[in-house]
Amino acid sequence: MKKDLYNIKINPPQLSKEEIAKYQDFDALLAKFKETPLPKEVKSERKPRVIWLRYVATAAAVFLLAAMVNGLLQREKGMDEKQFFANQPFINPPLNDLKPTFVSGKINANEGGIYENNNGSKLIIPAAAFRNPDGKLVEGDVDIKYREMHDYVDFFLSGIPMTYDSAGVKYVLESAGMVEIYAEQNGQQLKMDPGKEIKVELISYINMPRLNMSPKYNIYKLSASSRNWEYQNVDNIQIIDELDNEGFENEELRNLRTNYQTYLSKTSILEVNEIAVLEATIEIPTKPVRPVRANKDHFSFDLDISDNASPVVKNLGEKYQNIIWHISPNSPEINTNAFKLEWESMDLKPIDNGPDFELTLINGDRKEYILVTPALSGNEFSKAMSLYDTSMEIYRNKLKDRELTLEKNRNSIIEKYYSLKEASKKEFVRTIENWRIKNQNDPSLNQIVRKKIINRFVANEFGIWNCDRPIHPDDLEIEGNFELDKNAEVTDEIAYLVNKNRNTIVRIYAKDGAKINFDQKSDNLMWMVTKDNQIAIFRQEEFKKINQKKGGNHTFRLKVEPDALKSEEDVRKVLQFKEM
Amino acid sequence: MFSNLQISRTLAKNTARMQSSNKTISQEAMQAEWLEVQAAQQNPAYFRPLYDRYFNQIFRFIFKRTGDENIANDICSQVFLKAIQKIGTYEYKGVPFSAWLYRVASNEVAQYFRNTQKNRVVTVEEHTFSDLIDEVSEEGDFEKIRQSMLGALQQLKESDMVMIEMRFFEERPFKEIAQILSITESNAKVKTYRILEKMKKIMKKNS
Repeated sequence: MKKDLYNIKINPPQLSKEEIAKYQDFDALLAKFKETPLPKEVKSERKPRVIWLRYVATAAAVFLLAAMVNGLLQREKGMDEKQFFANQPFINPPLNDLKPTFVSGKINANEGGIYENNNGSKLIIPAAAFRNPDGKLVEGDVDIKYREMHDYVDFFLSGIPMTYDSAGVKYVLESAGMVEIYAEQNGQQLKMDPGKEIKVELISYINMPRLNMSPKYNIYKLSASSRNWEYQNVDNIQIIDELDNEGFENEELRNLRTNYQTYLSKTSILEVNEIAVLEATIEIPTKPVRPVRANKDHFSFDLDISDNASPVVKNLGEKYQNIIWHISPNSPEINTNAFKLEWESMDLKPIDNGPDFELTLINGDRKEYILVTPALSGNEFSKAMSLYDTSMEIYRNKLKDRELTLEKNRNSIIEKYYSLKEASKKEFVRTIENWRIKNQNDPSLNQIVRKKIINRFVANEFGIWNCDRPIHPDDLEIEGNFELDKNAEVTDEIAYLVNKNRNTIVRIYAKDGAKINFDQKSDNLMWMVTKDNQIAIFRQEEFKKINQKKGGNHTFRLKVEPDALKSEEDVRKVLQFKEM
Repeated sequence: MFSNLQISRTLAKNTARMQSSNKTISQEAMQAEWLEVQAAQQNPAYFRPLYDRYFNQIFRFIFKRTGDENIANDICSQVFLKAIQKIGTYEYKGVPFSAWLYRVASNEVAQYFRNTQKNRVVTVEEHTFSDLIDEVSEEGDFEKIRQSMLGALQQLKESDMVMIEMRFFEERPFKEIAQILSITESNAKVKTYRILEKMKKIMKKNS
């Protein structure tokens, strides 16, 4: 049974205007304002005041004493991690000058379009997808603002929290890439039209054990109002080069892969052939020939159409009385003196569906071939044009019908072969999974590899979208104390803990006794930012030396790196970022 | 997609409420209020008329979400303290000043429940509850539907509950909801419709 989220009260007693008015005291508010000018200070003092007011109202001295004791205990104990982060900005970039930057591109709002990032990621934007703050549909060019974050350095610099709270349980987010999308017009931020969706194809990388063919991630959207990630959907992940040599050293697996690849290529050939047959079997309508207007500047002549002429020629002769013939510009050259001769016979036949006819003039053994075009003038030309327009309308409709039939049948062929390929892939993945289970003691299978992927999902709002999966914090939990060398001072009390193998980053309220979860077998890193914009770091080799069991205590001595952080590259260097 | 019937039902109710409600104010009144805000930005003592105008409704708003007079008083003090501290950052964007105060109040209430980890209170009047039942359910055993509705409400995420609460339990016009939540009026309508659809599904599944 699910736990109730709300305390629903039906018809509870309401307060009268007078009852509320007794709390109304502007002078007290103004006095309080003058005492506490800074919002942060007010926030931290709120809790004791809640207690104080409540107990004055009830005038119970014993409770007042208890409250004071409680208050003292609270101060002694200090804020816990949850309270600390609740008082921090939700998105809190630690180095303001080095936040991951946005790139931008223009899209026509009326037509929509595809925005393509340098790395190949795409945003497929539908037409009429934007509204201005007044709710009016936006037209014309729109600036798409876009940034991607892929690894722990990006997440750190963005200040975006990478933990997920589910019913009070804290999870760590293992990310397969994150994007932030906005749209602007004339500097004004736009909203998405409700019901419209942007298709996102985010190219990114994930760390995963070798031969893991079906990594499972979800899509979450960051909600600033609930200060949490909100589940949206399942992430549709495609691994690029999933069949590369990495992991397929074993002969049994290589054979499996070869069989699978052979099946895929055979299926693709069958698919192409079937589409070609389909296109050939649906008849292509004949395009009507546009009549040619007689032109006195062209060389022209008359022809007597005999009874034994071809049906097309005869039909032409019956329809029009005054056809004259031009020599086609496509004709082989002929001496016009030839028309001064008397020829014994001639042959006239149409060529393909074009306007030209082939005319053969015959005199004994002599034959002359030329291409000629029938031309009309006056009313006959107008009549022919009218017929042509009607025929073109019919032609266009037939062509449209053909396209529709073709598309429908083509799609069903594509779907059929897609299903076959998917079924085959499923079977292949299942076989590989079984092989992995059978050979789970093979240490090479636990080796983490970095794979390029495409995350496919739809975004129905602007904001921050994360392809990730919530995982439990690492198993080994100890209490930590923090010391910085060189008497360095920190800007805030936040430590960043990374598990590089899982691409996770956790923010910790770095006070003595803080809970630190890590996996000693992984590649870990912890750091804090000093007031001089330097990084004080606790490296992997130091993590390896920690000799504590669950619940133990360790003092993390963070070493200040002398390099100044002027660019993202500087940060990557100090944080030892390297692509696996 | 919206069905025409749904739109007309919702809009009809909305129109009726708009006529009987005093919750939206004219452009002129907002402009005049903006002058009061500007005065308060110069001197906090001039915040008094805004405080006196909105204290009652903000207190009531918080009380409905906490169910406790003393807690409501404490949070309400905090809301106005924050308002007076942050009045310098307020910019007029064509919406009533009260929308800004409601947002501050809403954040403070959420903060309180985050800190205390208690279940947030939702105050419901029987007649407003019936309105919601009318909107999402077919004919049937009223008591069963009522229980099913309560179950469905328990499964709503916070942002959905906020919408239902403002629209049905507090009978606010969409325009005012949109102003408080910083969304468009049509977006507020669409969101409400979707939440109602979601509730129907939950109720159907649970029946």
